[in-house]
Amino acid sequence: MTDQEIISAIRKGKREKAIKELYKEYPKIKANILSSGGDDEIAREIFHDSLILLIEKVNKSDFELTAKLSTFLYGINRFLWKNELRKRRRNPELEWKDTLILSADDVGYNEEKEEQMKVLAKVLNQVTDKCKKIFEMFYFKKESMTDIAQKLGFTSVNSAKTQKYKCMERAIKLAKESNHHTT
Amino acid sequence: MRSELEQIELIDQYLSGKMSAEQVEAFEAQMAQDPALKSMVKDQQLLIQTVSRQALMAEINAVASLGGAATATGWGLTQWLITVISVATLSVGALLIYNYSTSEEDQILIEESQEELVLNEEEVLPLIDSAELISFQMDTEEGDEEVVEVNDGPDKQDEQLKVKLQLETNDQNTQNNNLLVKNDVVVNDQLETKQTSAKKLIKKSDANLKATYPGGRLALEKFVKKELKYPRTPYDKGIQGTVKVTFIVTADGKITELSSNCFILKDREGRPLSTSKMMANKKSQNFFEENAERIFRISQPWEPATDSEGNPVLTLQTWYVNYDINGKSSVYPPLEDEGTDNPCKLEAKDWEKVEVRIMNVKDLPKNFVLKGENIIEARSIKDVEDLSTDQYREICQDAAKNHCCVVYLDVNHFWSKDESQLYYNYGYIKN
Repeated sequence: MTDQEIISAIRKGKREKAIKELYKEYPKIKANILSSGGDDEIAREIFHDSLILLIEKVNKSDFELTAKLSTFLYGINRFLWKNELRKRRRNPELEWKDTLILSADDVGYNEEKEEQMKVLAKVLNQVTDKCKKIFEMFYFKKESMTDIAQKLGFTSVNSAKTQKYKCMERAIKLAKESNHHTT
Repeated sequence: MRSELEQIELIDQYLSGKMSAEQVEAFEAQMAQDPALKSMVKDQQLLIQTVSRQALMAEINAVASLGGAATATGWGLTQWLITVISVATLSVGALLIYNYSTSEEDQILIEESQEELVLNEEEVLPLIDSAELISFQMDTEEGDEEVVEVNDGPDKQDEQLKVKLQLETNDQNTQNNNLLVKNDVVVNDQLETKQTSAKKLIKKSDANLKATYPGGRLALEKFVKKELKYPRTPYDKGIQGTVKVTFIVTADGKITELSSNCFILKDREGRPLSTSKMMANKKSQNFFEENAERIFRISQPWEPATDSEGNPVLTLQTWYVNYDINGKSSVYPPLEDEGTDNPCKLEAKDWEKVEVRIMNVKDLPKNFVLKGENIIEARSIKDVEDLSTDQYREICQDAAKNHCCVVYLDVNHFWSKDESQLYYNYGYIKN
């Protein structure tokens, strides 16, 4: 697949194909991470995080490809790995070939936001399955409320919407509560 | 509620870029004026992003496992993203499970009492019968990894059966505090007579609530030895800890609704940390918590408990994961005498009791009163359907002023088509 094909696959929601293609870069990235003190687990974790950041980036309307997609992906991985090393209080020089030196802004990474999202991920564990389904279908799969109401067996679109509202209200409230606890 | 519903829709439209230029302008002007709206937009946006990331991570993992590009072990720090498939718990410390719609005598229960962050400075290091422990050696390695791996120990297959038996006889009293009554309120206060009636109820409902790891305790021991990793952060800081993990084992053996709702952190000498130190080491606590949940999350399906007729039933299981910095980390079920030995257990005197009640929505009185020795609460519920879970919690908080009560509602059923199945339960804690 060409870079453009990967990008349009992601934008059309055909992520599986795109992810498979991008996964071909993994061995090389893993080797880089292993050679600077990482292990399999962290390599995989960082690579998966980088895929998420890449896909989020590609889905933005203002995304413009200024280098090869694989180069960009390496750049994100390098950034994330360096960030991880910093957390471990180590700062070796990373010599990755053919890569970009990217800033947090470039890759769309924000430490504070990541922390908040960790809290929210926990919150999503506390809402019902149904809530999660609604969220996922509506916000991720971009399905219409009419479809959602039908698939999840709501009596009307309005009752599905009401539930979505209740779920959202609850999730945000839970998030506030846990923020309150941790700060 | 109507207007709030509309507001959420409006924010959705704004965030998804479905607004016209003029609408965007108007909306942004409104946001500039209204900090509450602005923060609402931010919250909603972040939540949507988290939802998408979780779904995306699931897709990535699916591809990864298909392509054989990665090994099956260790989700590590991305765990928080990946493992969101399990079902809801309505509150961090509480879950309500049920098996309903059977005959009147069938009481299938489960309420896990809410035990959040019990900090007791005087708490003594738990004395645990060594026979109950799964202990093993831990290799500290170089300390370079995020986790410290644990060595495999020798197999002891011949002891398997024995251990399994031991396991099964153990810990029937997990739910001592929790019982469930259908269509009936049981006031179970500290009076002896009432306690006996509570025990009767548990008996009647068939108290065989023990699910087992396939192959028994020894097999579990082996599995834990292989998989339990001491998180690096607390390891470096010399912090030890115990996590109480609860989870549901469904009738087909699946583990779900994992939650860890009790922690104790100890220093290198095994002395419990003070409250302020606990707070300062929240991260270590989180690591322990995630790490402990992971063990059960990645476990193969369990053998479900069976009822009196031998049918597999869904049960709540409780296990403790004890992290020992000297390599004797262990996993153990609640002990017979929870009162003193259980590191995570609240002091008995702190608890009045916890009760569960299930009710048919049609029987819900217009004014329902939470009965109990120290509970004073009467509140009119005009329309149950309009009552959100949060409102139930508020009722509870009101009651808390007069000695706490906890009301949880199983929203899944609350919102199900069949509204005849409304479940709620309450428990109360003294002070």
